[in-house]
Amino acid sequence: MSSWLSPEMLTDLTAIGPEVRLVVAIVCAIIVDLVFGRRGRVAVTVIGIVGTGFALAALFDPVVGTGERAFGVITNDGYSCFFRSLIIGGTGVLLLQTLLFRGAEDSTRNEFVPMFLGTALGACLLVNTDNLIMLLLSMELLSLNSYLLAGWQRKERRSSEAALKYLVYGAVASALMTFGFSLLYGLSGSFNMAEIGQALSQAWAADSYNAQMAVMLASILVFVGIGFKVAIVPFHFWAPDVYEGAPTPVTTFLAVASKAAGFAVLLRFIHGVYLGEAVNPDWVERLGFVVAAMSAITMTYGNVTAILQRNVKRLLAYSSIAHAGYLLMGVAVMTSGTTVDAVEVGMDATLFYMATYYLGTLGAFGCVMSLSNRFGAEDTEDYAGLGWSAPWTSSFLVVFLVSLVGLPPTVGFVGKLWLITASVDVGLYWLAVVAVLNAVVALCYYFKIVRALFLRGDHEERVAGFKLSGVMPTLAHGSLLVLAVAVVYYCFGFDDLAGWVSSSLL
Amino acid sequence: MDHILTLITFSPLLGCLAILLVPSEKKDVLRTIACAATAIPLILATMLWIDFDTAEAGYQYVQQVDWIETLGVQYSIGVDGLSVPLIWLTALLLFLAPFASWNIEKGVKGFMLLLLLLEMGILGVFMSLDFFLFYCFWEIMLLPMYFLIGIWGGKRREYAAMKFFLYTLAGSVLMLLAIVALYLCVKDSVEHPFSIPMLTQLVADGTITGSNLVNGGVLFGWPFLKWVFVFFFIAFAIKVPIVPFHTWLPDAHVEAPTSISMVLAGILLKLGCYGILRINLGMFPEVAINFATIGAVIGLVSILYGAFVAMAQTDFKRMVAYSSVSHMGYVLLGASAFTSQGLNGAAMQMFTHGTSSALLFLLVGVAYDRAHHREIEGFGGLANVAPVYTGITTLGFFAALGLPGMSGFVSEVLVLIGAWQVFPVMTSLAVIGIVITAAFLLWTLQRVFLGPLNEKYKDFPDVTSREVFTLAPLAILCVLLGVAPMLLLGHMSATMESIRLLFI
Repeated sequence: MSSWLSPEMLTDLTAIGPEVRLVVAIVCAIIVDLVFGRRGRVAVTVIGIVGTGFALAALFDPVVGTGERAFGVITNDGYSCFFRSLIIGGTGVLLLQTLLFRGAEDSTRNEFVPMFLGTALGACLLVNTDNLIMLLLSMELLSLNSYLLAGWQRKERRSSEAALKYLVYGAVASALMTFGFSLLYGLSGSFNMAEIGQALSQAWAADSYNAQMAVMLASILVFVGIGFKVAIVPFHFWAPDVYEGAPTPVTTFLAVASKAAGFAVLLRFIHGVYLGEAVNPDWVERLGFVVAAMSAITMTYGNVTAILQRNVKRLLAYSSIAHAGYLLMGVAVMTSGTTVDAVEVGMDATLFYMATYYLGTLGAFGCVMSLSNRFGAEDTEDYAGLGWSAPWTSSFLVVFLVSLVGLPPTVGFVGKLWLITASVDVGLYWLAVVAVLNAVVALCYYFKIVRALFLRGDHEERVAGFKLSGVMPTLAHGSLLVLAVAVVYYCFGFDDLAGWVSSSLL
Repeated sequence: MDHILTLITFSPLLGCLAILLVPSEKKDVLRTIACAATAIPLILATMLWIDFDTAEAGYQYVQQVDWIETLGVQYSIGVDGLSVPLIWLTALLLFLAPFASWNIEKGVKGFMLLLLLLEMGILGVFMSLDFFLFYCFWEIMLLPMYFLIGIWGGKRREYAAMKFFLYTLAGSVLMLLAIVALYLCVKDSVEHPFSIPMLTQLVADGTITGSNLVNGGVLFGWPFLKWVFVFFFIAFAIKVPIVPFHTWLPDAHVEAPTSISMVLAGILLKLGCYGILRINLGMFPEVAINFATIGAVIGLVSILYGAFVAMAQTDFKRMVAYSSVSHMGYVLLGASAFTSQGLNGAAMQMFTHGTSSALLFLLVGVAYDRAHHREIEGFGGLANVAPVYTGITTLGFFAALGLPGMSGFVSEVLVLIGAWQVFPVMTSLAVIGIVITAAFLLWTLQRVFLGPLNEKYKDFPDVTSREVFTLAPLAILCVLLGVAPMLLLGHMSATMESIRLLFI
């Protein structure tokens, strides 16, 4: 290539190839929007989808994922590749499904697509760094875009409320986290997680009351910030309102990509700071207990509260809180002891579960989008009898919901199996029991939707209020078919998935 | 014959594909396809029955293919004397089910599709020799059942379907924990840690103590294996169902359409008993001995409670449902005795109850189709207008109450003889159950068929030829097995003897 780039610079740029391609797509989308205005809606979306496609392809470049640092702060490891493919792939699918979503069209300005790509860019950078400054910047890139996207439907009161709520909660959480980071910097003199970890364990071992308090305070502040991002009880209060009010594609993004990025950071932070070489067993033990307790509380609270919901998006919001609890189960396994084995098993289970959750949630929201768009269905009651009017979409929705419950023959079962195996393996029996009983609770509310779809109604076909036809909606429905097939296939053929996950550990 | 088990299990899927291709308006075509598709497993299962080596106690027709490397899961299936009769019974009842649901008009396509999926799930459970496979089939069965009850059921169908699903799932997640615990015990030492025969062998050798999982193999004061046993037992006991986990059963049976009630009572309850015999007894005999008395007490309570409650019912179908609870108690009582007669009786009771209760549910369905209600008091004198129907019902009732010469007699007597040797007091009490069963069945017979004809039903049509076609095979089996029980026992006895030998 051109000579003004040094070879090192070029390698570094290739290492963040996916992100670079996202930036290019954003720029192209903005230019096309400027030139064609509203007429360019489909074109802009297609640019976004193609851009994510190129970004995904760039992940296969041999320079990407080697573990060779880029620019000093980008880790460029297999772990980040795992999350980046989830985020970018999910964004691509979501952009396709946006075409199923009429709500966005009403008030749509085309900036939706570049901003959407911007959130993906932020999430990609977020999972790809172990430097606190970089982490903070990319998290703000992700968050600021998300606040705006949540309030995209200006005429919808709920949408504006969602945006405001998200902004206020998010700003406070960011502020707390930043304060935590500054304390960490003060304690260690470094922004690098591994170095912070060493400094912290020295500070802890010094047995000075002040130092221990500072370490504790800093950790709590950081966990509050991340806990907000991934909606762990008791930092979940924003989630139901925002999920309900935001446009469905944005809700989906928050539930999948944003949550994946948050967990990626959480895992990396815990792994780098608390489970590094100079680890303090006493400290890890306390942390492990807190995480396990929060996991049990989060999944139980999310599931039990979801039973009471009528609005489908709100219901799925609580379900995503519950799933954050399941994912924390893997973190609890990681921190249950100081053995290398436990860390590996726990992280493996978390990542695997993340992949299964991703498929199920992406699909479920896609179906919800299609149904609510065609039939104007919002609450579970509105879904009555839709199974007979839209048999395919409804059947797919059943598949995704069964996967979220965690029953065979869907990949969700394997994800739960992984988590349960991991927690029994390290001796967290009570957590395993709580988790399996939670699956029974989860059945109650997921099947509220299934019941409405197929068991209610008069079996007469309802005429769709809004017909979706044409190439793009067909493609979008096709993506649901692909997801449904994947969900069933990976229940039995998960060797590849498991291999990919276990090669992506930190 | 090498792949016959795979063919039996997955041939219903071919029917599913065919049904998917037919437009939903062509209802008769759909029904015919379903009948044809369920005939294939029946023919194959009959071939299996004939070809089966009755002298061999272990697994036959075993097929093993490595499947999921990450967990060492194998696609591993096989049958023995315990499962072959149940597989044949499944194939028979599922073959009769499309005929019994011929008059279902709404969503025929979906109904037949789900029925075939259900058949695949049930057959898979009876054949799986790998816990991963076993659990998958076990759960796959739930979804079609949920929809079959929930969409095509009676007035309270939503409630019944959900209750059925929740109860069964609550049990099976505990089973999942037990399976995971066993897997973790052996995952580092063997190649296929989910294999049922291998795990059975390792438990028998004393290799699995759980000491690599928990300190000293003791968890909260109980040995590790005891926990595993209890978790399995709860899962199967809910399915059987035993008192006090039985409350899903009357709801599900009453609300389900006739053909599904038939499958529920005929086969799904047997899955629980099958699990208890195969896993709890076959795999953990040393733990099972400690629970023998508890098992017998639970069996006895189910026998008496089920019979008393059945007597109090005014709804024909509900009465039959509660009689099932009572009859399944015999299986548990016989199995808890660990004697040759007890085990054979338990296994035979599973089969005979499968035929007689399916017959009774079909008969209730016949009455309901005509009268659109099931109140026992609402009929009367039907013998005057429907002699054939009365005849078959009488035969079904006699089979259910264990009249000598009918199949129920042989299995109940075997259970009682077997249990007498170990639990004389409880067995004497269990006999009361037989008397009560006889009482409520005969009383029902009197109220529905004898006496003066209820004027409302003076045009009550007798059974049609299609109904006779579904009723006849079951009625014949009830008589045949009463006269020649060795037809069935011959297939079972070698395997049941091998289970008994575990307890000596």
